[in-house]
Amino acid sequence: MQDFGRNLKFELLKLLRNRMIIIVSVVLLTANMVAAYRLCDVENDAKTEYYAQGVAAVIKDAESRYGAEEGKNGFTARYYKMIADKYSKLRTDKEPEAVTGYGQYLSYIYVDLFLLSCCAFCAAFTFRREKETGEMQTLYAYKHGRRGYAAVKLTACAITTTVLVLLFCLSSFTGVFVRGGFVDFTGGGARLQDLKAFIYAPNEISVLSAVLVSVLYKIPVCIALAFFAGGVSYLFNSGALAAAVSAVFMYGSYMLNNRSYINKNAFLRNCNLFASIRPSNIFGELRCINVFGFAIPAYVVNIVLPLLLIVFFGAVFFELHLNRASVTIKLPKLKFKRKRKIKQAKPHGLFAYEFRKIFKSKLCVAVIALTLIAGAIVSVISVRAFPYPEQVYKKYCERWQGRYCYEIEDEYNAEQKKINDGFEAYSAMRYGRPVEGIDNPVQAADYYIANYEGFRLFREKYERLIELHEQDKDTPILFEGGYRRFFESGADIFLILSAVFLCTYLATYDRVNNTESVMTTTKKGRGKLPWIKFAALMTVSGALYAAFTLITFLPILFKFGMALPYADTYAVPGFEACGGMSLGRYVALMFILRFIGVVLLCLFCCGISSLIKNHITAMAATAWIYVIPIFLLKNAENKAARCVEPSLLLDGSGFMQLFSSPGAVAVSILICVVIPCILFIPFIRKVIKWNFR
Amino acid sequence: MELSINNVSKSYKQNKALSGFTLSFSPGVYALLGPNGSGKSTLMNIITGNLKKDSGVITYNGKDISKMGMEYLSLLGYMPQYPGIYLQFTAEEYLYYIAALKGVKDPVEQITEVLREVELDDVRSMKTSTFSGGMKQRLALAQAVIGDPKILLLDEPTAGLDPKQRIAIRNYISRISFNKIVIIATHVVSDIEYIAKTAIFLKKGVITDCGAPSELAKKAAGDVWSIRCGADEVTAYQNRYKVINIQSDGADVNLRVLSYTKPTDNAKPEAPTLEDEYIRVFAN
Repeated sequence: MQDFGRNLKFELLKLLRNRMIIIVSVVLLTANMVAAYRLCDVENDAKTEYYAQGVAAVIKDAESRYGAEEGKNGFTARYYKMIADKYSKLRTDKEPEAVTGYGQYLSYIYVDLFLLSCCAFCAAFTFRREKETGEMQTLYAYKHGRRGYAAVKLTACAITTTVLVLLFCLSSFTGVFVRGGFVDFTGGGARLQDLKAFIYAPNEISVLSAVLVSVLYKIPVCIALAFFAGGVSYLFNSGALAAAVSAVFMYGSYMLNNRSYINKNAFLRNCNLFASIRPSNIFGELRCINVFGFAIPAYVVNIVLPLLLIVFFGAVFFELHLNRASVTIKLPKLKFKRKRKIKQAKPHGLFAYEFRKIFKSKLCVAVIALTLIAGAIVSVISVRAFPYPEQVYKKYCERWQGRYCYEIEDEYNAEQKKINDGFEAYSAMRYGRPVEGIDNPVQAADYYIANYEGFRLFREKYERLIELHEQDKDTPILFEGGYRRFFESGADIFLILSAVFLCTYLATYDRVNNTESVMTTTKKGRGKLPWIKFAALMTVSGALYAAFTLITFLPILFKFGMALPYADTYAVPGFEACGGMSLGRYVALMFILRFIGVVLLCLFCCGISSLIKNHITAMAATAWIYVIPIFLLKNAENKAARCVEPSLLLDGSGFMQLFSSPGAVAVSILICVVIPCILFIPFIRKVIKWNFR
Repeated sequence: MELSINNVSKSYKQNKALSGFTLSFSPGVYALLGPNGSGKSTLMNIITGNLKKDSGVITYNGKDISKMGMEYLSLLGYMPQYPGIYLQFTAEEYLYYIAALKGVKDPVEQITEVLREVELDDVRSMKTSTFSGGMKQRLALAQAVIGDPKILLLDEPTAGLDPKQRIAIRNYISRISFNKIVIIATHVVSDIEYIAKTAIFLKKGVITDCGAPSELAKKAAGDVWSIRCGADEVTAYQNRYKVINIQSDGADVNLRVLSYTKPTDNAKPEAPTLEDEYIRVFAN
């Protein structure tokens, strides 16, 4: 036991003395605090009467269903009886001001994303360290190198994860506190149901207890996930592959948990690991799972499942370690593959060799292929959504395309009359009234049913065009669906991640392969090579970006069309910030800005790669900096708030939407342009530092 | 052709890695000998420009190398202590890449010849990821030699090689050193004993001794003894003298001992080697 304690102490010291762990943890904790501050909405709208109505509706529904099932004594009857009993006890008071901060804290969900990333990073380091430093063979030869080692690793990982959970919860709390969410802390004693987000909570506990329980619920989930991430990183021989598998599992599950089709399925909704990490799942409305006919509340399952997984993943790690298991992924050899002829290499230029570094790596080729396939799938799925009213709207737009609103007044009024007549006929037939003045009422009613929604959309557009006409901003009629979709396609996260992967891969390639010291002693390796490398990665990421944009652009173009490129951007609602610019120019400018965005991304990646030696760390740092603001500001109502997104130029359209706010443009230029340029300085120094010796 | 290092110093925080190193190199093989942390690799890295020196001047044919820039780099061939190789490239591709970096005009013949010399001709089209440690070591040597550099810096070039390859590489280095300054940093004294023009003993960043290996070896003359004794006496001898070698021969043991005076009556004087001198210098 004494040895165990001593080994555990050393294991924790390894973590604490690792600079990268400290940096990553501090950065993520700060990001979490900033996000909590940014997303905290302290204004309390407290529409309590709606909650009261909601609770009453739940009780009424549960009682009626129970009534129908009464006497059967099955799961459904017991479930609705439980719901009716639970909710009948609830009061539905107005939310007191003192509990607003607690409510904001419990409703802040992005902490999970930061927390899971940090736990996975620390777990991977804890489990993988000896493997990477080549100490495994020595360890196996020692007394505590087998079972003792596994037990110490798991304990160290669990302790670290617990500490991280507490720190992250504290940072979220601090974010809300700094924002002014807490008038005072007395609200902790109030009932959980006093919080508007937890009005349907079935348990009678205080707000403070709920906060503590939510923290306690996070611990087993995070430990289970850390054990999983650590085990995976231990199993794979390639650190990059292990990180990729872990990331796909964790973030994939996390994203999947938020999808509507998961939420519709009670079992998946409650029995997935991520359900336990979110307070709304634990304290939300009563959810039960059918276990052999017994209604087991989801909050019980949410604590049991992680505990079972901790035991399972822990046992798996023991087995992995004791059996010295490791996995090297080899692509299967296809039988029909012809035997490759050995070709003699020929000399090429340096540029070609930089390309070879990327295209000879199976991982890079897989990333490029997957990005393009994902782009194609997402693009096809998005263009398939062409609702019927929009199709009718398109028909109206194409009917008067290129003409101005004042030119079509008579025809528009005639169409309006036709729709009105159809409505008259429809309502008369529905309520059995006689139809007067309409020749063919059935046809008229059918016309109304088929075209009303589409015409309503067109009417909104027509009225808007009239308004613009009155402001001397005449814009011809056109179907803007194609433009809108293209402008909204934005900077895809897949694409950014792939570009970041490729850029950091190439930028850190020489250092990772330990050949940098040789490169820098050659004539072209010092002066020319970095620029060639920069040009190569700009070409690769630019080409990837162009291909991806084309994959997004062409389906939209073919399905929705992008007519009248000379028309003004006023024609596309929501994108008027560049009023006075034609749509064709807007699209061209968007492409140019995107290209500049790619160049800046390359600058950023090169800069980060000059500062951080390891490829995975450089990639993770850049990806976080680029992707997290997109997540956080995705639904921001104020478009100017997006000015802090470093990826805004990759969006193109997003940057142009800031044009109405010069301050936001300045901030955006600072973040998107100036910071990457400053970061690029260490990279340039590498090229010119010979002169400083 | 002369590479002069004048009063070069380098410190890592409190530790002095090189302290006022001064020496001139002319064509031939030079061996840098010294224990771990004596400053051999630091000196190599300063000469290549990978490391910034704290003070001092390095000149090549009288010109300050920091002012020569690319002209100086085109003279260099460098094999680091832990050479890295692109695992996705074939041996041949890797050498072509290095040739491109060095700006070699027509590398085909040169690469074919170098690959033959380092005995990698048969595996030239194989990916380097399939290579053994020794093969990678030889490939790293090959890349350093490409472009016929005038200054060849080799940091432990024979590490991980079997005796046959060791001799082959040793002879190859000796053969190409006629019109080059070859500086080899190593711990293995026997590797350079017969090919080095000059051996430099480096201790804590300071030259302790410098000269032809045979001349240096002579400095230990009269101090090397062989003693035949019983196994139970070995510890007593180890406590009193620097024992270089212990060879067990059944019940008795043959010891090779360093001593300024005759250790025992039955001790026989031995002909000194460079290794004896190395031990003599670095023992204390």
